[in-house]
Amino acid sequence: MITIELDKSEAIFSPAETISGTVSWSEAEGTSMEARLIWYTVGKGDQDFELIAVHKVAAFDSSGSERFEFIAPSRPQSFSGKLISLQWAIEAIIFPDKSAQRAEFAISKTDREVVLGSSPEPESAN
Amino acid sequence: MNIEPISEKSKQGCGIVGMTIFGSIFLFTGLAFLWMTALKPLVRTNSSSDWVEAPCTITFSEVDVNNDGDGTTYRPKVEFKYVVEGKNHESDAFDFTSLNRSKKRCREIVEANPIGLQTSCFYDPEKHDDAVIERNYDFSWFACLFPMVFVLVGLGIILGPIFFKGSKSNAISGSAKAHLAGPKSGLAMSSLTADNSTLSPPSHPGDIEDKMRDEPQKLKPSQKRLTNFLVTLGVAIFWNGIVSAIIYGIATEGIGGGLEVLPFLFMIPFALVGLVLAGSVFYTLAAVFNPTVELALSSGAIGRGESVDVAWQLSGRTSSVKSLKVTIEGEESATYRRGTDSITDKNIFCTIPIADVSDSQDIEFGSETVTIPVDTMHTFAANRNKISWKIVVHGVIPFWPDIKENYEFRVKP
Repeated sequence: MITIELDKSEAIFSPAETISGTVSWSEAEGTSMEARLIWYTVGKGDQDFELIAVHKVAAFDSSGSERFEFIAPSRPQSFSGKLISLQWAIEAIIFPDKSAQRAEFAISKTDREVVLGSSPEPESAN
Repeated sequence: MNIEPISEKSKQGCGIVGMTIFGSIFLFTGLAFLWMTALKPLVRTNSSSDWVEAPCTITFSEVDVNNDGDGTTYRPKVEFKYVVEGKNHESDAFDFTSLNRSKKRCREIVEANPIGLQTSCFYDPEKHDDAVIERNYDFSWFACLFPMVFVLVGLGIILGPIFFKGSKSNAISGSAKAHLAGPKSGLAMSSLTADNSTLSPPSHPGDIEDKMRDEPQKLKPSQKRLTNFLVTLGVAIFWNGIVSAIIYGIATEGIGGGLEVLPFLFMIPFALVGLVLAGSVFYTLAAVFNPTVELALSSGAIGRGESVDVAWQLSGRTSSVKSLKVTIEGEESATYRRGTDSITDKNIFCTIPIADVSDSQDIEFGSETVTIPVDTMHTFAANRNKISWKIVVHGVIPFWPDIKENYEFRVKP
């Protein structure tokens, strides 16, 4: 069993903010483990994703825990649109059988995820 | 409970493989038909130049009529006997073509070769049983064009995704596959076990592009009018060339027999599409002569919450433009596969009016300042999903194609 716990209670980070937490596992069968910082799309379009950074667990055993730390990139920021949404996550994977767990969060310049279609329309300056 | 890791998923490479397999079925079917119906008879005609002429007698001559679910087909059935080196031989090959022919052509062949007619045939000196009466190639438009449609469709399916993929070279965000193919140093920058002292945010190709565009810029339209016209012309010539050749073939040869109504009815929708395409050629040609729109921005990469100066200038027949509307549009687009089709859905999530003018001077030249909302999404382009920003210029010209130009710019995070 794998669990991921982020240090920050609100699941939203600003660009350049540190995303830290602990990944714990028990009764795990495998030879190695990684915690990965990824983004992926959800929605109507076929899924896009990108692997941004990898934290490799140095001494993997059947049970244990490890701290991880990543820096939130400036792009792409999280959004939720009518057709697609972009989600950030920490994904912990045990190899070789690839059992995994994911902890989702948002990266946004503002303190909330961007919802498309809700942007105010500013008046053009005349 | 465990989940399937997203970062271990294979990317859409199988889409291209699938399309290649699907296209190959069309391509090879078309090539096989082309070989059987057109090329093989042509090759055999050429290789029969050294065949020996011999007297023969027609023993059977009739139009072979075959009625099945696909309609009536006709074929000339002419049998003859001949003597080579004192030995009797028989053949039922009138010529090298195995195709069905029109009823009229079959009748002509049968009437010219009645039973008992003493005529001459040509036999293979190497293989005496192989003989024909007519060595000339009986060319048929159907024999060439019908398989060629399959060949071209197959090539289109195979090559289409390759060209489509090539046009995505300006993608800002790649996939895991694309990323992993590059140097690994950029990926593992935050590995605490390796080095917990270096935690710098990852640099992104989009940042470099933003930096390059973050200066006063003259924007070019996303689509060129002349290119639009030439592409439409090419498609119209290709489509109408094939459709008119098939209709000509039906009119002169028939699919399997005489002049039948059903094949003509079947071709009506194709002919209508051809007419629409022909109309589009004139429409896009007229649009080539529209006034040109030059657009300038104080910056080609604007931050959210920042203002930008937008200026436009029209040149050419500007007096014909009755009104001009300039707007900023933010658009999300999602591409997905349904069966063998690749479909892209689009949604405009933000519209910012810049100008809506009808005065001739304001139409000819103008400038405005506009602010990009803070709470919106920056430019983003992955393989299948995209957020894009553009300035849309719409000029209304009565009784003439309107000016419709899009100018892409970038919104920074």
